Amino acid sequence: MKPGEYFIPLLGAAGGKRNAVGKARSIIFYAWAGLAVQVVLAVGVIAFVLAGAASQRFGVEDLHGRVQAMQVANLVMVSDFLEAERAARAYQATGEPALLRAFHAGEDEIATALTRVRRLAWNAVRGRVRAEQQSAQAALLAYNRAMAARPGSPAAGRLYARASVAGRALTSQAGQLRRLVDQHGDALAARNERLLGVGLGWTIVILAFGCLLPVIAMALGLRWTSVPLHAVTDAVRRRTRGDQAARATPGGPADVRELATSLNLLADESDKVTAAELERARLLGQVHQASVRIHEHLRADAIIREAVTAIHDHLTVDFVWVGIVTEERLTLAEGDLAAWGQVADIVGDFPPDSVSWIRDIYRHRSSYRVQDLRAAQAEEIPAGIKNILKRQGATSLLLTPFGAGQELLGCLTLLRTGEGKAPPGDTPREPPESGVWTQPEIEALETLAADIGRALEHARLYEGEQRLVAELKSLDRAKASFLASASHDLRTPLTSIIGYVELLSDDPAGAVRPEQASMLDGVERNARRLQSMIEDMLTNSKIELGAFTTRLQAIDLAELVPASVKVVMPSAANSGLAFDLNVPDHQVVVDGDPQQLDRLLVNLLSNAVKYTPRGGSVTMTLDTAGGAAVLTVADTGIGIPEQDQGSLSIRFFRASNAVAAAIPGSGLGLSIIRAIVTNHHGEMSLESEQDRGTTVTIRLPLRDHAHALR
Amino acid sequence: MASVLLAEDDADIRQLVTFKLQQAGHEVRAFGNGAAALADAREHPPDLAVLDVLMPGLTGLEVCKQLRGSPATAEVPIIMLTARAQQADVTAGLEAGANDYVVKPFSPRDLAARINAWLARV
Repeated sequence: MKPGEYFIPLLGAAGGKRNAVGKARSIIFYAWAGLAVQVVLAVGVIAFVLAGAASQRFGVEDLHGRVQAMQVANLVMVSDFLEAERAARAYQATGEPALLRAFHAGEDEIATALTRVRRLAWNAVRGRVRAEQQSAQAALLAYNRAMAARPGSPAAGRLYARASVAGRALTSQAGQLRRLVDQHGDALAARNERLLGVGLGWTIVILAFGCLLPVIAMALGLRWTSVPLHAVTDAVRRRTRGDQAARATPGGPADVRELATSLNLLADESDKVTAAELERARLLGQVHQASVRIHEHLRADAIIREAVTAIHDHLTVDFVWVGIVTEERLTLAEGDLAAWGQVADIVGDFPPDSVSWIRDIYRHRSSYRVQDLRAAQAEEIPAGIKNILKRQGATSLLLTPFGAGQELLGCLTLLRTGEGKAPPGDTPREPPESGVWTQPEIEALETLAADIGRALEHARLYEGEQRLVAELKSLDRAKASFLASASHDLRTPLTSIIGYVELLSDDPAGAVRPEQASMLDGVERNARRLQSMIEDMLTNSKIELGAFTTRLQAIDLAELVPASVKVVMPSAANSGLAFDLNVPDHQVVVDGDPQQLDRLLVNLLSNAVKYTPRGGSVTMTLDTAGGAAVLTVADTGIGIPEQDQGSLSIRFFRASNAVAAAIPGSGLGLSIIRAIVTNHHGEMSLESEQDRGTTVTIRLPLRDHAHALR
Repeated sequence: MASVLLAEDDADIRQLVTFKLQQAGHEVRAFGNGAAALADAREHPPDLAVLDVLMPGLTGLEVCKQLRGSPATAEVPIIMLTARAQQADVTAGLEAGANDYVVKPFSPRDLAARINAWLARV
């Protein structure tokens, strides 16, 4: 049972069949009406009490006036008759004429008394009064006859006797009348008593009613008012708790009813706003999800496909197509997107002038929407586009451009044909009113468009990056293959040069003159130098490519060092240097790559020889200390300026004094040495003083020690 | 006197090695490509083969594999000449069945010494 339905509008119902819902008046009206009824009731009670009192009063007056007067008059008449009878009897005895006169006077008084009795008589006693009067006349006539007879005569005696009988009849009549009047007085008194009781009873009843009525009316009225008021507050409370369906049922007085109606209107309005907010949040949430999916793609067609799917899934729309700006023309997005609806038909002849129009919209970072394409607002659309829209039977258009930075990349175009094809989502939504685009929809689409723009920009950057990587990879391959072929192509001619020089130098080929032998030495020395430079270049390239790997095997440095020194020895001797080699007479075994270690030693010694002027000395020492092979190469050469020492590990860097002295070199030797040492888990240190010499110390872990460590 | 098969595409090196080995008293059958060397080896199995790794057409590695695959030449010592001293190349040569390798540029004296050593071992 709803509040407000179960009570009868008590005061309002007075008018008859009043529609309790339709014609209720205000609280003030009912208050006045209640007051009026109270006043009428009070007046009525007063009138009733007054009437009762008056009636009582008349009853008493009747009793005290008529009944008693009647009794008195009747007694006077009886008394007068008895006096007249006495006078008549005395006259019979005495014949005194005075007595006769007294009798006649008594007769007059009796008549007067009778007249009075008759006048006082009322209907109920009138018969008895008439009978009394006849009896009185009869008695008086009888006495008049008796007195007319000669006193003391027998006839007179008889007449007196007869008169006496009539007299006794009269007194009897009078007695009867007196009893009747007494009876009547008693009845009247009893009726008065009854009337008083009834009057009192009614007065009490009416007073009680008069007192109860306002109480009941007030209770009912309060209930009638408070129930719908309570319904209103209850509805408000339920709404604040989140019950969106809570409504107050209108009821009670007009103003309360109006309050409820107003509250319901307010609730409806609030619900609309909330629904719009929810719709906005829902759409934005879905757009964010779609954005996440869009950003997962790095290909333009996948991005657009994802976007179109999102639009179809979350917006009510009949046609969606995505235009991409290509050379100032708007073309359909690539791939098999043409399969989306009737899109292909539209886009085929999209007019070229539309791009500048769309770019203008994009500059304002907004959307272009036409809620009703038949309306005048649609005038500003380029004619070409408008024709296409008309052909599609579109009723409304929403066009949102997207791009990167200032650059327009394309646009999303959504059409509705007014039929409102709902998206396939699980939440059925109201079809949009005649294709109107709501603000949440527009915001959602603009958010999506911004994401598409960013994603396409990412895709473009990614594509560029991919191209760059591919180019670099191909460059890298070219470089590697160049190095491989350079390695081969440079070594092959060197093989012939060095080989033939050797053949010439060897005796069996035929004796050479000493000066020719010296020339052949020069050829060989320079060929070896060329070979060394080639090896440095190739090694450096390998280091750069990260292909400088080592194959470690057990190597006895005490054996390898003298062999490597032998290669450098001739040039040392030619440079007029004193060369000192100190190698222990026991094995110094390390884990090493023989070719790399050979390069290490050759480079170390070549540097020492190269940078030490004639007359200087180079000392190479191999020893073991602290679980490591310690290799020291000390020279008395030009040294390295202090300010250059920090840059020694930079490839192609050469010390300033070496450059100044025009000593040839590539600037690779030391960095290659450092790379080889690193490859062998060794340490390298360098001490140098300009013009005093350089000492390079290299520590390589001993094999036994390394094994012990493992 | 031993018969040595030489496959080397560079004419100068071919002549150099031929001269040095003839000087050492060996019979040298020299070819400028792998196919010709292989064909000759099938007809006249050599005592030792010296193969250049990088040759147009049939490479030294392929010739080496085919020689090892043929019963007549399966046991012939094979020395590879390589311009690439990288470990991977060396490994590839050894896997193909070569017994030894010499890195270019090499000393003819050194090569001749190695060949003599291998021939002495047979």
